[in-house]
Amino acid sequence: MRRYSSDWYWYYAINYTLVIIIIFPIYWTLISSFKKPSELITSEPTFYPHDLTLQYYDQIWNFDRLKRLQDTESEDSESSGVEIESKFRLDGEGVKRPFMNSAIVSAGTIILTIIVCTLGGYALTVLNTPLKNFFFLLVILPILIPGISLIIPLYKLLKDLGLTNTHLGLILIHTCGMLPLGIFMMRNAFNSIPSSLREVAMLEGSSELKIITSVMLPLAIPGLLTVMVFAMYVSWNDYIYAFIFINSPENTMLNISLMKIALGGSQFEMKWGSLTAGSIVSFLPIIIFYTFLQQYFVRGVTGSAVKE
Amino acid sequence: MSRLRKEQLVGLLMVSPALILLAVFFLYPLVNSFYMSFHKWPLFGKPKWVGLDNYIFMFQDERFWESLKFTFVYTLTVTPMLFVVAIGTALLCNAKAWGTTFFRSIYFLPVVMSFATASYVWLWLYSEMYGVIVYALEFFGFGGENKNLNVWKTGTSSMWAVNAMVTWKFSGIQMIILIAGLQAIRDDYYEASKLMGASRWQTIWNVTLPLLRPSIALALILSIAGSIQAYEQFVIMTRGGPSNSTKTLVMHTVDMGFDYFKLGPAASLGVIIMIILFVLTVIQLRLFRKNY
Amino acid sequence: MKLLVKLFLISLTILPFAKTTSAEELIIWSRGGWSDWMVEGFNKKMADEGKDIVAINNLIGHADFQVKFTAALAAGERVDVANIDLINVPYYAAIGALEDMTDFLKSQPYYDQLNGPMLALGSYDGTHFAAPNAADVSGYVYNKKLMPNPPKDWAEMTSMCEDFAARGQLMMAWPSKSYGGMIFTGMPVAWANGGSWVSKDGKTAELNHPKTVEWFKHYQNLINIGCVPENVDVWDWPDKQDGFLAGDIAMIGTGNFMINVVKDHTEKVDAGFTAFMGSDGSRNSAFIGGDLIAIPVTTGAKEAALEYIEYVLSEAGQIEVYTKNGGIPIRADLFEGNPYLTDDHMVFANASTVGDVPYTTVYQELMDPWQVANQRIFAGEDVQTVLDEQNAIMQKIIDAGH
Repeated sequence: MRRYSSDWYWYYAINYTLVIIIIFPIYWTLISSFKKPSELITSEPTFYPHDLTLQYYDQIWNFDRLKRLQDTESEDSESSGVEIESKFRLDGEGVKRPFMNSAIVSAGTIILTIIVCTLGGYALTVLNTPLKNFFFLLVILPILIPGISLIIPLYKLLKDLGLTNTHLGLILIHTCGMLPLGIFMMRNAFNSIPSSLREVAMLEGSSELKIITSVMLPLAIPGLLTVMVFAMYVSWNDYIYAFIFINSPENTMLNISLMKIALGGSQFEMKWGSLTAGSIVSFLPIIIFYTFLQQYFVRGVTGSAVKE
Repeated sequence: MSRLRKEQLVGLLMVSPALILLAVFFLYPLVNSFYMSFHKWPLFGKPKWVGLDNYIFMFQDERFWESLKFTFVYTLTVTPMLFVVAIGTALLCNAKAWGTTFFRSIYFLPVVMSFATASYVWLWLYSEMYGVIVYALEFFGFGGENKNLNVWKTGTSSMWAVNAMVTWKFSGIQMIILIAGLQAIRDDYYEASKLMGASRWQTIWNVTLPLLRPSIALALILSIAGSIQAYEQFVIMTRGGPSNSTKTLVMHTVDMGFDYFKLGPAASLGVIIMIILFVLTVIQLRLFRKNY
Repeated sequence: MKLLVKLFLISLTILPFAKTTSAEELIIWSRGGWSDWMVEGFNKKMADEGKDIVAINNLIGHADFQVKFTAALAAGERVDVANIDLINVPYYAAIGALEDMTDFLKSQPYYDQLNGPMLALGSYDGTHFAAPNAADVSGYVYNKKLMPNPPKDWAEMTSMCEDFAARGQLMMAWPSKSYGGMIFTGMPVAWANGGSWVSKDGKTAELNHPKTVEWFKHYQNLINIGCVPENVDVWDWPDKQDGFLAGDIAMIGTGNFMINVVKDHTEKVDAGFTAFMGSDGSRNSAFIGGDLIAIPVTTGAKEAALEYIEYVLSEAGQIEVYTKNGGIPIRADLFEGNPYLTDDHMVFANASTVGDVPYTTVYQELMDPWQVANQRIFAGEDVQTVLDEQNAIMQKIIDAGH
C-alpha cells in the first residue's frame, strides 16, 4: 500500500470521519452521565456538561436501596418509624458486590471457554478425530436457537443440578453459548498453520498437549484473543440468564443492578442520568480488558508472519 | 496401538468437554423444548399430548406470518449494511499504517456496550424533540419544512433507524472476525500479487477475499443468525410498532410464552426458528465450502 | 492467562458460600423499590415479637418481572410471597397458581375499606387469591408556568387547545406507542366519560363502546387543532415525559410517582395535578395500577407469608412505609389524617376510589389490538372503523381463552 502514498490523505480522512460517527453516541452517553437533570432534558442540547455533577456515579457506587427511598421523601427522615437492620441486605454496598459477581462469572467463562474451545478446535481440525464434520455441525447448533426459548427447560435443569442462583451455573451456560463462535474461530486459526510444524514437533516426541501449548497456540493467538474478547462480551453483557437464574440479592449481576437503578421506582420511569452513568460503569472494565489484549494482538501478527 | 488409532482417541478426548457441555446445557433443554411443542403445556399440572396442534395454531396465526415476513426483511437489509461496514473497517485497520490499533479499538468500542443500554441511548438520540440525530437529519432537510421528523413514523423508517443502530453496534464483531482472518493471510500472497502488477482493488478481489472465505462465512452466519433472532432492539426501540409492523419472530415467541402464557405454541415457535436458521446456515456453509 | 486464573481463584475464596441462619426464611419477590422498607419493617416487628422469621426481599423490579415469575413457576421455584402486577393476577388465579386467602382477608376489620377494583382483580369465582398491596394511580400533571389552571371539561380543553395552537405551543401529548402507557393514562379518560374497554366479567370486548369512541374522537380532534405533536401516534412514554419536564408541553397523563419526579425539574416545571375527567367534567376516573400481593402455591412458608401480608396491610405498613415513600394507600380509611398524603397525593387518592382496572385473564394478549387501535387512530384513521376492527380481534382473543 505504501506505493499509493498520495492516498494517505484519503485513508485518514475516511478513518477519522468514521471515528467521529462511531464515537458520538458513546461521547453523548458519557457527557450525559455528568449533566444535572435540568440540563439533561432540554431543547437546546449542550455538547459538554456546563454544570458537572457526579451524583449518578455516587448513587450507583454507593447505592443503598433503603437510603434512596428515604431521600425521595421531602421531609426529614429522622422521624422514620422504621429502624434499619442491615443484616439481610446490601447496606450501602452499591454495585460493588454485583460488580464482583460479574467479574467472577466473566473470568470463569473466559478461562473455561478458551480451554474447551482450544481443545475442541484442535481436535476438529488438526487431528483425525472420527465424526469430525458431524461434531462440528453439532457444535454450531446453539447459534440457531434464541436463548430465551430454552429458558424454561434450562431453569428446570439448573434446578435439578442445584445450579440456580450460582456463578457456576451461569459460567457453564455462557461457555456453552460460546462454543459455536469459539470452536469456529479456533478451527480457522489452526487451519492456517502449516501442518509441517506439527510433524516436526511430533518427530521430536512431543505430546499433543505440548504441541498445542508450545507450537500451535502461539501461532493462533489472534484467533484465541478474539475468542477471549467475545467470551468477556457474552458473559459481561448478559442480561436474560443473569436475570432469570439468579434469585438472591448477594448473587445479583452488575447489569441487573444497573438496570434496576436506571428504571427507578415505577414501571414507566426512565432515569437518563442513572442509565448513562450505569452504562459507563459497565462499559469501562470490558474496554480495559480489550485494550489490555490489544498489545498481544500486535505480537500475534508478527507471530503469524513466521516463514516456513 | 497404531498412531492413527491413538490420534483418534486423543481427538475424541479433546472434543469431549465441548460435547458434554453441549449435551447438558443445550441438547437436553432443546429436546425438552421439542417435547413441549407437542403438548398443551400449562404452567402447572399435567401436560397433555396434542400432536401437531401447536404448530397448526402457529401457522394459522396471522401474527406469525407478519413477524416472519418482517424478520426476513430486516435480515436482508441489515446483513449487507453490517458486512459492508465490517469489511471496509477491517481492510482499513489491516493496512500497515500508523494508528490502525487506535482505529480498530474505536471501531470495536460500540460492541462492548450492553445492547439494552445502546438501544435506550439511541432511542434518546432519535427522540423527536430532544434527539441529536433527528436534529442533524432535520438540518440536512429531512422532515420537510415543519421540521417534524420522527423516525418511528412508519414501519420502514423505523426499520432503517434500528438498522443504523445495529450497524453501529455490531459491525465491530464482524470486523474483528475478519481482521483475525486477514492476519492469518501470509504476506507472500500480497507480495506475489504485487509482483504480478495487480492494482490494490484487484489484490483485494483476487487474493484477499478468496482467502478470507472461512472468516466471511463465520461473519455472515453469525450476522444472519443474530438478525433472525432480533429481539432487544425492537422491544426497546419500536415496541413492534407502528401497528405491529416491526414485530420480530422472537418478540412474537416471547409474547406467546411469557405474556400470553402459551408455552406449547411458544416452544413450537422456537423449533420453527431453529429449523429456518438450520437451513440457512447449511446453505451458507455449502456456499462457502472450499479447500482452504 | 495466568493472571486471569489467579484472579479467578482469589475471587472464589472471597465468596461467602452459605448464609447460616436458623430462622425461618421468607422469600419475597417484589417489583417496587419501597418493598425493601416493607421487609425491613417486617423483620423488625418479627424480632420485637420474638418470632424466628426472617424475610428476604428479592427486588426484581418492574421490567420483565413477568418473564422471571413465569419461568420460576413453570420450574417450581420456591417463592413465598409475590407482588404481582395486578392486571396479570386474574390469569394466575385462574390456573391455580396462588393460594386461597379468603378467610384471612375476610377476618380483617378493614376488609370493607380495601380498594374495590383491586380486591376484585385478586379474586376468581368468589375466592380471594390476592390482596391489594400497592397502588399506582393515574391522573394529569400540568405545568402551572404554561397553564395556570387545568381544564375542567372537554369543551374547555378544546378551547385551551385552540389558544395553545394559535401561540404555536404544545399543550398535550400522550404515548400512543406504549400500550401500557395508553391504558394507564388514556383509557381512564374514556372511563370518566362512561366508556368501557372490556365488560366487568371480562367476557365481552367493548372497545367500540360509543363513549370510548367519543374519547378517541376528542383526542383526535386535539391533534387536528394543532396543540398536540403531529407525530404523537409514534410517541413513547419518555418522549412526552421528557417534553413535559423540559417545559415544552403543558399537560400529560401520568401517575402518582410523578410527584417525586418533578422535584428534580423545578426550574422549568411548577407541577399541579388533576384527575381525568369525562366530557362534561362531572365524573372522574383513573387507572388503578400497581401490585397485588399473593402467596404462590410453590410457597414453603404459608403461615409466615400471611403474617407478612398482614403487616403490609396494617397501618404501620401502609402509612409508615408505603405512603411515606410516595405511594397511595390501598385502604380508604387511611386517607384521613395520613401525615404523608399531601394535596397532590390526595388528587390520586381520591381518584383511586372512583378508578377502574379491567378484569381479564388474557390482558397481555389484548394489549396487541389495543396498541394497534391507538397508533392507527392517532395517525388519523377513522375512529369507528378502527375500533370496530380491533374490537373484533379482542373478542376473538377473549373467546380463545388463556
